[in-house]
Amino acid sequence: MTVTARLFGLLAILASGVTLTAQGRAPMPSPGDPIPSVSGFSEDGSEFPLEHLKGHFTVIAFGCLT
Amino acid sequence: MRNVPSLETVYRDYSSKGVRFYYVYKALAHPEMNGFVQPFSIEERLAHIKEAKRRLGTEIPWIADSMGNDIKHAFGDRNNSEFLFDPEGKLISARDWSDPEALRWDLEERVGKVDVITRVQDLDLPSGFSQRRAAASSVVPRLETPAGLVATKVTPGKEATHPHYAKLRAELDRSLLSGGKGQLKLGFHLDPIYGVHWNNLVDPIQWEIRTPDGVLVSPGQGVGPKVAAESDVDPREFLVEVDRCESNGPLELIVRYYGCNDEEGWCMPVTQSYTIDFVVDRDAGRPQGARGARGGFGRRGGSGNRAGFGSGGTRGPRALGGPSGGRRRN
Repeated sequence: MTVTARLFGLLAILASGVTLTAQGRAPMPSPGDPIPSVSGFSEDGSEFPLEHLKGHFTVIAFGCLT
Repeated sequence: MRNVPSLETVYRDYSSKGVRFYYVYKALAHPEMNGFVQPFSIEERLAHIKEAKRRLGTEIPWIADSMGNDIKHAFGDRNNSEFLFDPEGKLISARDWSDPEALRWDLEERVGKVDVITRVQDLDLPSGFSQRRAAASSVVPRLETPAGLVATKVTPGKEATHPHYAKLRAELDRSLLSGGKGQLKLGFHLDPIYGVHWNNLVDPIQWEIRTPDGVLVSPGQGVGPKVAAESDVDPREFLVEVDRCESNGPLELIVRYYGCNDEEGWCMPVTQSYTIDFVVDRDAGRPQGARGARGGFGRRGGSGNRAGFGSGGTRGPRALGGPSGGRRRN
């Protein structure tokens, strides 16, 4: 394989990663990262900032009905 | 949905040790499954949580993601991911697919082992769930969806005096994203949380599209099928050809239909509007069985049968970080 072909291969891999990001899939947080400064809603409808979870070991699992 | 019971066992064992657990209810990974469609409001998302609790029998509290899907985006857009934070709010471990067994190892290491491990069979979880349907289903044939359509951003009009009993889901050819020609699929789905059905004894659903200058849509209006059954809950789907002619403007859609709720004893005409933007909706999910579409993040590895909540029970640990991620118990 020529250097040029390898370079094109590398560029293709990089391009695919860019495409994936462009499709909207954000990277997952990494160990050591702080809990994101975003909010949801508790079951009673009140705002629920995730930063309120500090102070305890906390497990967060994602899901939905379908 | 096999991971949920296992996660509930970890919750039963570690919540008493001060560990907090939350499910985050996110946008649907597979809209249209069991009739469910993406909610339009936080109230509707909270109604989904009630239904999820009824079906799953969970005790872990829920957090509803915002309608901007901020939590989903901040955590990487995975469908069934799982995260453990320490008391300082630093991430200890992240898994792109929930793995309650590996989570238990993480907690054993940091919080300590429990004397007696709760088993799934110790829990009083429902063994199945009843599907509530307001009327007959599978009486109207589904539209054969062309390959390669992507979900596009749909915004319900604010003029609505009633909930959107029927919700529009729109998908289009990628060629339309850059101003070209292509197909647009319109799907009107009755939202099961309202218990409403179509009234087939009156005029069927009607819609029309109002276009910006220069944009061509054919047909520009449509009428649903005549259905022999007096009522049903099947989607009403249509395919139209669009030529954007380089226009950047969105489409405006008006829909009229009759909805009935037998439990509440009403039947009435509803008129609602939508704006359809030529923008991919990254949070729209992907119906199972859809061909070639890439509008959401529902499918992993070609498996078409995973429900939205941790149903990948045969997957191995996939921790992306943390010292105990991916370990096997000896």
